[in-house]
Amino acid sequence: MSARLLSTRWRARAWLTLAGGLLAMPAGACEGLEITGAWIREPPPGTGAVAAYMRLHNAGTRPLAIEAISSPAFAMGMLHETVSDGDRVQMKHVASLRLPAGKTLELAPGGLHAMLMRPTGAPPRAGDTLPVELHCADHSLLIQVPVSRNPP
Amino acid sequence: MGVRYNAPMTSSPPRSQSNAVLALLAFAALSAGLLFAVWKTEQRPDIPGLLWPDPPMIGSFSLTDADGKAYTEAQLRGHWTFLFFGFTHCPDVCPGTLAVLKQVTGRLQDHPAFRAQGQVLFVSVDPARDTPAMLGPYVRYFDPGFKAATASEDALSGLTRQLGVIYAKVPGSGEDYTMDHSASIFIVDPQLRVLSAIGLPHDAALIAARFRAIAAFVASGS
Repeated sequence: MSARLLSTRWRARAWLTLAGGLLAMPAGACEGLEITGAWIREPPPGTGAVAAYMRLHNAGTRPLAIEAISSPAFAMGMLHETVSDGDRVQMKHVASLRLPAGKTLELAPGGLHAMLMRPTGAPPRAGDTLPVELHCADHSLLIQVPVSRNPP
Repeated sequence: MGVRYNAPMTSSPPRSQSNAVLALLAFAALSAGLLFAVWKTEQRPDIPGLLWPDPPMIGSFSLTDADGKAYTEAQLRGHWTFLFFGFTHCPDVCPGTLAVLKQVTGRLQDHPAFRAQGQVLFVSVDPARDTPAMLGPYVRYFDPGFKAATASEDALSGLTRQLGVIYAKVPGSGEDYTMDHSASIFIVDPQLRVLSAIGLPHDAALIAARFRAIAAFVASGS
């Protein structure tokens, strides 16, 4: 019960931060990019790399390309795609995410995700909120992403 | 014409008889083969993904578990095991699948055979980074009852080769590397028969349902 309340509060806070971020965004910075449902999977003990998931939507009229996703809380960030043929899985590096006007792209478990490696501090725990930066062309968008054990 | 036609008929009755016997034998063999094929097919129940008939068997292997003890085929005998291969520096698929297996074991708590004999074993295919001691806290994060094991490359291949599990290091930047690996969940029965290999995407409801169907099939005397 209290865990649920807490997670709702965190989510609400993430939303507020996100809304604030969108309002404060200068014209031209990832214009039209909307992010919903962002979350980071809590890393199990002994591990530091995490996967960040989110839904990206281009509500603008021009195509967008997200060249990178990083976080000040991690030394390294990469766009990855888990590719599987049923049994064999591979992690493929993705150079950029192309998002035509009006389109939605899902970063979800078992598919596209942002892999964040080498945390600069203690590994994140469920309930934390981490800053994550999406880089599109010359601009970037900073969002706050909740860490949780399971998909929200 | 008539003579040329009749001549062989009258001159070789023994050969014609032996031909008939041969034809009869061939027909009998074919019928028996067909009947056997039908019987075999009828033995295979309508369970998707069931490796039957002639499921692969797990033979001897030797790994080290999270407590530093030997983990061999003896630890699988008498248990129903969900077996999964991965590595801890795997932020997407491995924790996702282990979280799904936690849901699966939760769903199967009302299954008497699983409650009595069920287990989950995670085998790391990255012994260079995953020591047995590290694997304990890793799997227990998902469920205190989950088991983990690994071994040196040679010993590891003693198990992975039996199951056709593949894995390969893929260099990244600097010291980082990732691994391509088999992500199937194997269902191993108490007699060490590998009865299913479930590929991605992993869905807890589907896996639990498949387990129930397979366990019922085995309990029916197969």
